[in-house]
Amino acid sequence: MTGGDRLATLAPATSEALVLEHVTRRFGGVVATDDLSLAVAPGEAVGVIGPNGAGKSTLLRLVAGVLQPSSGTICYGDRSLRQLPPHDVNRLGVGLANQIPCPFRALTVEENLRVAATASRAGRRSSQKGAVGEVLAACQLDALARTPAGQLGLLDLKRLELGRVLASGARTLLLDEVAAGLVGKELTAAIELIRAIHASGRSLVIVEHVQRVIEEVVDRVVVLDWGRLIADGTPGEVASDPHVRKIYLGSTTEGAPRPAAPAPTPRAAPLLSIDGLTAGYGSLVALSDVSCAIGEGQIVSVLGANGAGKSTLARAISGHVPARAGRILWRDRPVTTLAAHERARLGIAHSPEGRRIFSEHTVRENLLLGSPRRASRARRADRLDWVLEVLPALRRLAGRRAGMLSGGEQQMLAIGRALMAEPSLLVCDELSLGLAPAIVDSLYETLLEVQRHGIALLLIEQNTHRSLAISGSAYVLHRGRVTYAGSPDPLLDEAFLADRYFAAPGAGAVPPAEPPPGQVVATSHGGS
Amino acid sequence: MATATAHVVTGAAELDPLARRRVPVAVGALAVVAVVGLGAERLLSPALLNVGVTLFAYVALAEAWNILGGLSGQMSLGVGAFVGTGAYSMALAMNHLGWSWLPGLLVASAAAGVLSAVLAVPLLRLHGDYFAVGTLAAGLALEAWVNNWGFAGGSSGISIAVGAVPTLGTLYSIGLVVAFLAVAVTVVLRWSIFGLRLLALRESELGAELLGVDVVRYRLLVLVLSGMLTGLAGGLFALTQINFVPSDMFGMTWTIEALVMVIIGGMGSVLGPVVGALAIYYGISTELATYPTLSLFLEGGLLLAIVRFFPEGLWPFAVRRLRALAAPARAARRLSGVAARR
Ligand SMILES: Nc1ncnc2c1ncn2[C@@H]1O[C@H](COP(=O)(O)OP(=O)(O)OP(=O)(O)O)[C@@H](O)[C@H]1O
Ligand SMILES: [Mg+2]
Repeated sequence: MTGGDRLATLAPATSEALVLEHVTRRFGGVVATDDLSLAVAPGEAVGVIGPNGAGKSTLLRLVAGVLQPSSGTICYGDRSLRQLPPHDVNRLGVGLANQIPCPFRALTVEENLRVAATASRAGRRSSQKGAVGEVLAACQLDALARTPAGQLGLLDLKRLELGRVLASGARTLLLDEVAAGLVGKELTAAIELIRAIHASGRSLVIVEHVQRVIEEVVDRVVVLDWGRLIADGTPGEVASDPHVRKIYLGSTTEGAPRPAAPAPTPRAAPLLSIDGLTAGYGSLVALSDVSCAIGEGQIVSVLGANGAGKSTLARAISGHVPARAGRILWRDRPVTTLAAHERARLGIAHSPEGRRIFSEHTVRENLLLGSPRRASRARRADRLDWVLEVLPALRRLAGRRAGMLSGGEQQMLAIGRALMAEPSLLVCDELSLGLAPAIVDSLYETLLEVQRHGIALLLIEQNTHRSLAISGSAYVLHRGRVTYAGSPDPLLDEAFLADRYFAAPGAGAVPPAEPPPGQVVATSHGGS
Repeated sequence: MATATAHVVTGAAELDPLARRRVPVAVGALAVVAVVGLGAERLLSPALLNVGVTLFAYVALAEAWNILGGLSGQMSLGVGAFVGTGAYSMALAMNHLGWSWLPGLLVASAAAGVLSAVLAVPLLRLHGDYFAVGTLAAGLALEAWVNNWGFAGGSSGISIAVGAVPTLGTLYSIGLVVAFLAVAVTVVLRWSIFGLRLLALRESELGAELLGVDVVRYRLLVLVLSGMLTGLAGGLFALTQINFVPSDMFGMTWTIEALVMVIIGGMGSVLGPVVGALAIYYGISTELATYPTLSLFLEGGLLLAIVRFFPEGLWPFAVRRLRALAAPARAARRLSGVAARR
């Protein structure tokens, strides 16, 4: 990344150490951080890993002043951070990029960065203009500079979150899953950016489930479980620790061995077929002339780079984005103009990117709210039992307020709620984003279990190997057009996948792949 | 209300050098308008002068609400508390201390500012709807108390000594200055980095705080500033009404008027509240004064139509349309400029 060297000018190198001693944080009966001691030397990069709900985000929030410890001390340099509010902590030079971004939606990307560049410390006014421009370039946000942040997708919001921390001139950066959901080139770019930040002498504390970030950026990893520090060492040492493997990494070996062979695709008529669909927002065309089909009980993967239109396709299917042209058929019945709630009643469930849960309600209430309106009490209870069985992590959390869950726990809740609706088709946008590797393992087993119940799945995943392994067919989108449709197997070849990710649309894009039985073949009509 | 805020067009932070001179240019232009308005005083009929004073007071009232609700997202339902405090403190200072209207107005503003600072202690702990309900409660409590405050006339109200009230021409000039002040304050806030931070904390308090914005301090500052402007407007209303009872000044009507004006004109924009005050007070209340029922219906209908069709408000909508119309022309000019340089 070219922006990297220039980043050094944004703020001087760190000279303060971050020291936590016997820090404990309780939420009612939950001990989110348990007698934790940790020291981060000036300029050091420390990775923090651990299962979902282990207390990683809590740790970062304690340092940033968003939460206060129940006991223990946190010092930055020779200053105690006790009772300091977040803005004061930020002014000392500690910046937090939140796991769940909190952008200023009505402000443009550039204005978001300007707030960061000017609010943090007086006296650096002269450099602020440069800072915003440099951060825009470094985070690859230049093209979006004048877009209101409310219009960004989740991955761009994560970039903005990181960009704001950079622009605020922080010298110790606390990064909570800023690379979640990135793959391929984009992940490489993000890693290079983080390395450049580190190379400029700043300290980093990185929470990340994406293994490459941990392997390629940090010198030292600490592992948390139930709020306790259970391992501390180099990435290599930690990865070979059997206990860590068991609770966190799971079976994961890159390239994911196939779980059970995918269930045979039932040869029924297509459940959902989409023909020549065009959709967009304002003047932006996000999908153009997309055709695809999903059979009863089939698992279909939709792949594509950031901004390819995958989430728009998911929203168009569930009715949250209107179709501008084209047809959507559900069991041979046109549903193109039906509202989202009507489609939900027909059996289309959507677990959206960035999990829209009811944060004031408990986990159990959230799940019950997901069940069909007319379901009887007994049926609801049965369904709830089944969902808690396939997502066992939710059982322990059933009585908690959903807004207080960790990022990964909220993701599981979103999936669980969609399952409560007794759908025939479950659309999962960014399914495994922010989940610990071991959880992803069990989640994929869950998906096969879900499929065995006759539910078709549309998976949008960055974790392509994983999702392709269980899919019956796959589509690749590029700039809103279908560039591949057919069997998932050819896409396991990295080079071919990369080619389809960035293929010129229209130019004989759809290979003559054999259509899976009982399925309408996707076609990309004409186009330019 | 939420949609209206989300639609606010933010033009605050363009980095081009012209933007830096935007505040002085805008305030200068406003001052010119104000001076022309002052000069026009002699030409206007008493009826028009009368309309003018009240209109100016409404402009100040609407802008004050806009600063608080539109910029910082703190929706107040207790506008009456500040109008009433301004009106009563002014009347009391004039009657009992024999002060003239100028120090009287300053007292009105200061008293409402002090009230804001005191109310801030509980109010700043509240967010969103809870803040709104908190302000509502404060307004109701204050009204009840003044109704029973014998020294200030209790429920039978208070009158300002007629001799101390300035002439209509002077009132008109005072009103113009007050309105100018309110709009100028809004310009400075809206287009400065301070205003950008307010918009930021309106969108996400946590986000702003994590980036070094002292959210509590900023909220307090706008609360007090808005209170002072509202108090000033209250003083002006007192001078035009001369006799009033607590419910006239502390009642809910002020909140409703301010809200309707700001929503119709455009929440968070600089001139939106001015447009809203013109549309509601002049367009509907004054022109249709002989048909009070019709004007109420129109007001309600207009509000519904705006919320439904132009949620960002009349003024931002008009600006956007004008910009869209001007954009091709500007592009063409730029192109021809490039050609000429070649
Ligand atoms: N404000 C809160 N109130 C109550 N419980 C909370 C609160 N914040 C976090 N928790 C609980 O504390 C535990 C740790 O949460 P934390 O967000 O730190 O997890 P995490 O390690 O970041 O997980 P993930 O990988 O899923 O993001 C979780 O069980 C969570 O439900
Ligand atoms: Mg977390």
